[in-house]
Amino acid sequence: MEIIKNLTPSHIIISLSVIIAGLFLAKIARLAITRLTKDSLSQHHSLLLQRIVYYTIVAIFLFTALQQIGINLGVILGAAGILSVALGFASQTSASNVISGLFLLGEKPFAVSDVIKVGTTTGEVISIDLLSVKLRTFDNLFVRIPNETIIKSEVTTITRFPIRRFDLPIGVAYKEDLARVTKVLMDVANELNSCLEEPAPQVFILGFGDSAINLQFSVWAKREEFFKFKNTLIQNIKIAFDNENIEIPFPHRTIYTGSITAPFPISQVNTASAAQDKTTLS
Amino acid sequence: MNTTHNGSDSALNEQLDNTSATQSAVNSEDSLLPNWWGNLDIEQGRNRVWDFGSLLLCIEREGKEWHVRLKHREISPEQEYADVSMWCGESELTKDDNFKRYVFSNADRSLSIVPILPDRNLVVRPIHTVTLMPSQRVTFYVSASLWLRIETSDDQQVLQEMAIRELSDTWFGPSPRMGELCYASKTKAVVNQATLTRRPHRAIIPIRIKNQNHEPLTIERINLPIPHLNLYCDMNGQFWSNPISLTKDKGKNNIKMHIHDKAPEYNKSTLISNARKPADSGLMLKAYDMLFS
Repeated sequence: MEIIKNLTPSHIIISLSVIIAGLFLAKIARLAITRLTKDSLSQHHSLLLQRIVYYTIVAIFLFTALQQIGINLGVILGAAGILSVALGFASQTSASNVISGLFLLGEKPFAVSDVIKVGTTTGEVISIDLLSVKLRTFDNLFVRIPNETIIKSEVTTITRFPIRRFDLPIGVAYKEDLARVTKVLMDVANELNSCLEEPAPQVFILGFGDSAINLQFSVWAKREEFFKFKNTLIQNIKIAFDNENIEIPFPHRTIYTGSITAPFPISQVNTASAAQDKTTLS
Repeated sequence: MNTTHNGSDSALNEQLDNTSATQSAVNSEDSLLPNWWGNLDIEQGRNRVWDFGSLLLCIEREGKEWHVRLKHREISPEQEYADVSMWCGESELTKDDNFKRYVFSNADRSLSIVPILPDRNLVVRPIHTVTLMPSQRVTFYVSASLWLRIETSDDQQVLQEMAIRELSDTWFGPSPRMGELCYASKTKAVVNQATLTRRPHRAIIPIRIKNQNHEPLTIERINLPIPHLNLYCDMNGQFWSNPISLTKDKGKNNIKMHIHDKAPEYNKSTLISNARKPADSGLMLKAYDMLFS
């Protein structure tokens, strides 16, 4: 109360000026860091440094402003200690997110502009903040994922390594010669420039399926053109199989009446006589 | 830049009419025909077509605009044309074939075609795996397909770069986690230079390997630092790069690499294009795995 009584307009103006000057300086410092670290630091580290510098400058100027109006910082810090315990109980989720955020910054499983998959959400990382990670999905939606969720769940960083493997499941008819099928697949990979020569493409025979012999064609490509590569590869395999008369069977059922029963009677209808019958009936 | 473009576009047409539309543009014995590279002397409303076998390219001049169309063809190195065909007029290219328009403020800007080396490292294999015995040396020769750069003649503003032959990508490194993305050469490294098939749109890269170790050195694949090499042209129109020396020192796991500044044995050669990247000191000593496997 005594502080409020002693407050003069000049005190308030000076304090407000200090705060405004602090915010202004913090902003300039943030811009300077962005420019200076453009080449030397990653976007992720630059962002982290900007935040530390920004909040430190703002805090220093805020404490200076408080001192200007005669507030004892020791009392405030003591009160803040008690307040933080109370707040800690009240905002367990936020605290957990903040701590998870610190772990994320330390562990660095991904960086800003990486593409990650969390649960069923895949998107580009826009920012890594203290409470959450912000993503932009490929259908241009903004997704906010709490840091705690990221720490607890499985996260896939899709853009971590420069090359990726594409595993294409393929089914071929039982009548096909698997050596010939393998050769056709390898030729398709060799003719496609975007398919990496090393690591070499591989064909795995997975086993006998209901309608087909199941294979897996594993090929490597560079990350940047991965989806274009997938489309081209599948198209080229379809063309090659059509040219080589290799059948990709549809699921089919064989109806079997058992060994004791007689086979199903099948009669072939002669179209000419069927048309004559139709005329007679009409 | 070494260029033999002396005549006008119409003169070129006349020449090509007198011969055949597909006659060689690069022929050391017939000096009347211009090089396939150099300054482009194309009249307004006219075009020029280049057929490299693996690349069909058309550049057309339309007022203040230059139109570029190109198409790559998948052919084996053996099917590559021995010469570059060049003519003015119709071609199988359509407006959909990688069509690009370049516009300038005035109509008097002229363009050049500059042969350059590829933009990534090239991984090449010998015909069979080679084992170089201790204290021995060998020189391999590699024929690398060139790229083209279309640029303005006066201030070298780059319009477009393209590969004359599209190469497969490959990964060179100890694991999919470590290494670098390179091009895989369709041709092999050979020891006898005479067996190398010479093409006017290919450059020969000499690689000298010296094994100073006590153990034999197995060479299965070689990773060539193409972006660090200059491109030269000799009197016969053959392109060369500056030679690379790789030395395996005694008791060391590293290969010492040295890129020679000049091509001394090709005295009368002209520098056509500079290396894309400067040869830094870090390049001189690379991990063993990064050069051979």
